[in-house]
Amino acid sequence: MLELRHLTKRYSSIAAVDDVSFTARPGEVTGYLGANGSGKSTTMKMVTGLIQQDSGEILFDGLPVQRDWMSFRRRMGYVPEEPYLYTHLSGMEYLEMVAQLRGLPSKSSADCMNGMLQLLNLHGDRDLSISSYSKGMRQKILLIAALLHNPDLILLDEPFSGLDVGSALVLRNLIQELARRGKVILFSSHELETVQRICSHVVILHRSRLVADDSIEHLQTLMSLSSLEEIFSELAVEHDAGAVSTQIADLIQA
Amino acid sequence: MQQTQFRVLYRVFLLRVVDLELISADGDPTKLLGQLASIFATMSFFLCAPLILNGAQWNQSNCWMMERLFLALTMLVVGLFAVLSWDSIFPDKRDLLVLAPLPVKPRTIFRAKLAALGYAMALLVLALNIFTGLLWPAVLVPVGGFLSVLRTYAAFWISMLAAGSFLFFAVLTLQGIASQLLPRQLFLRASAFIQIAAFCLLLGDFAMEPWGVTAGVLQSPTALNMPTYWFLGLFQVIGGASGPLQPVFAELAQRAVLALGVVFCGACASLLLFYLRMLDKVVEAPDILPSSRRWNLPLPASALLTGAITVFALRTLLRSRPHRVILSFFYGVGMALSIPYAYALFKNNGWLAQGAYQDAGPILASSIVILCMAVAGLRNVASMPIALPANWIFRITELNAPAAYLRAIRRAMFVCGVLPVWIGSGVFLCAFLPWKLVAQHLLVLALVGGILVEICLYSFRKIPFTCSYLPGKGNLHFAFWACAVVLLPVIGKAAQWETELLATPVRFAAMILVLGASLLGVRRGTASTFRPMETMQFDESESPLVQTLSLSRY
Repeated sequence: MLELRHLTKRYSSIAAVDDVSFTARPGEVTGYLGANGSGKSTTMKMVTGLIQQDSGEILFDGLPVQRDWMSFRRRMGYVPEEPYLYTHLSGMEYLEMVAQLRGLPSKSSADCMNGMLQLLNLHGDRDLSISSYSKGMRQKILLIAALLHNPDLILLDEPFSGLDVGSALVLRNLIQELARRGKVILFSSHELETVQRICSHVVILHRSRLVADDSIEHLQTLMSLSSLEEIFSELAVEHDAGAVSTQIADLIQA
Repeated sequence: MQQTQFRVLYRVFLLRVVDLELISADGDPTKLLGQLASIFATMSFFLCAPLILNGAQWNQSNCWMMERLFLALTMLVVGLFAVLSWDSIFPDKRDLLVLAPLPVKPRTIFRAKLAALGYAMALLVLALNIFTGLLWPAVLVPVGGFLSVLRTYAAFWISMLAAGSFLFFAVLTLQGIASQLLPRQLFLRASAFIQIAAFCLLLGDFAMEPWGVTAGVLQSPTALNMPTYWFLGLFQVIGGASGPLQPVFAELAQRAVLALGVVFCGACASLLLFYLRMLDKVVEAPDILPSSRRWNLPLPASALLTGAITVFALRTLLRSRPHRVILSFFYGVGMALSIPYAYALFKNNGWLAQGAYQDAGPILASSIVILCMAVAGLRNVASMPIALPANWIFRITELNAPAAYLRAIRRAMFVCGVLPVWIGSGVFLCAFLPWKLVAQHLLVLALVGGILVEICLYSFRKIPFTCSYLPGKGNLHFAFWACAVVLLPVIGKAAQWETELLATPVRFAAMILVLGASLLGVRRGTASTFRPMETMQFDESESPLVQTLSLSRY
């Protein structure tokens, strides 16, 4: 179980994440929603240890992760928001490097990599340089690198970005399957329809603060709204989309 | 409209003439260009030292020598600059992809590129000669009035610009020919090797130049075949030289003008052909050719981290052009510095006889010099990140203690820095020296390499090619180059001692013991800098997610 307690991160006087607390449980997919700049990726990076929180605590299975980062990292898989990879390596070379850095045995990790590359239709391109990969191909490499070591906690920061329809369907089912197998999954996305389909529980951020932490069904009942999109619009969208689009069109024509 | 486009593009191209990421990641280009200019101005100031020390007492031969030195130095620096700016001379794919959707004519891009290159080269020549160009012509001026003084100043600056332009246009022509003759992908791959060869050629030639200039040398075929003499002739002719050597200078000047004309036409043709034939190819070319599966070394569990870091470092060095270029610059300097050692040996003794230990000093010194430069170069390029945003993977897979990382980084530095020189020296020396002496020297070389690697790793708590310089901080280590100049004679002397010690087994064993103990000592020192660390260091400064405009500065 991943538990965030009063997590706060500030840059000068600007709060990127402000007193955020929630729990992601094993066996369920926790959707992490918010507008651009609301603090989702910052939270993810704090959980991975890439940036330090100013205050608050992160616990995994009841223990503060800061106490033993190395053990925590062994149990964590992370797909970042941007597919930053070493583009001078090929997809296979990158995965081999990750496996070696994680200390995974060569033989079993090679079998696992080849299997996943085949299932994600990337096996034929595994020896091409990552610089020639499309965004979706890079996303698949990130996904394989995150799952290679069979992690207990999976952090997915907009994992559907750039994926083709077929791969997106595979990933959607994969996330549900992994949750069924008892993994803790924290999943951030802007695709509300996907979130509604696969998440049992959502956390919504607005202006760096938590505004909702509940199951989708409960939120629907509570707010008397039929879809997650309506709930999200009510809680985290301030402007009138129709009016804004009219204004943009007017500006272009001016 | 076109004028505005030209101005904007000219400014952008000027700041990118030299790939400034080679000097400092995220550096401020104008600040770094200012730093470079100040370095060259300092060199110019120091070149005035002989004038200040000797006053105006210069005989004709010494005047010619100094003139030739300035010309050779200008040609060397401009040549190195041209090789460094190899990738920015022609628009690259990024330029074209950014500019293609905009209403900018290729002619405007062409003019802006040309103007930026010309201006950058002129600035370089100006900075390099700023003090010498003010003081030396006053010494070099022949007897005459104010007009003679003016003529000498004009001769100085025109010949310097002509000499610099000659080499710059020559590199441009070479690049143009290569880009037209080779398929695009092959040209990109060959570029790195052409750059390395050009570095070694330019630096080696400068190191080998016999500097004394006499009337006899000026009349010899050597002068007719060396570009520095051609431009010396040009200087003399424009400056109004008279006397028995006037026809010699005229012939040399004629060669200078002819050569300049040839390379100028070559450069113009290269640029024109590029803009007419290559623009589409650049846009359409894939970033990388399909590759086949190369090699995969199965590693034992205990060597996984070491293997990952070593292979990552090797692949970065082999595939990243900026890293290769900088490293080849160090190799080029090393080879240029070692040429005089080898040259002196072969000139005096020819091939070494079996057992001629006492004569092996210079050639052994040359391998140590190259080793020092190779390790220093590797340490330098290892500080240049290949892709800073991609470093997150090393951070979230940091599952070992810093001591394990130190072992892995040490191995990677040894494999990438020491091993190539060690193997190369072994092969090279075996051709000239008895195998026993070579084997003994290789053992010494390995220990010296180990010590150098440890010194380089002292407080370097970073994985090679993952860390960055602070924004704006130059990647130019003055202290290192100053030390290199001081250490050169020491290395020569040390190699001489080494040859004496190699001759007797007891002394050889004592030397190995001392070197081994030194290696253990520095290893302990390096390890002590890692011990207090809890994690590895990735950046010298974490880039803020929220950028301020720093308006308080204005």
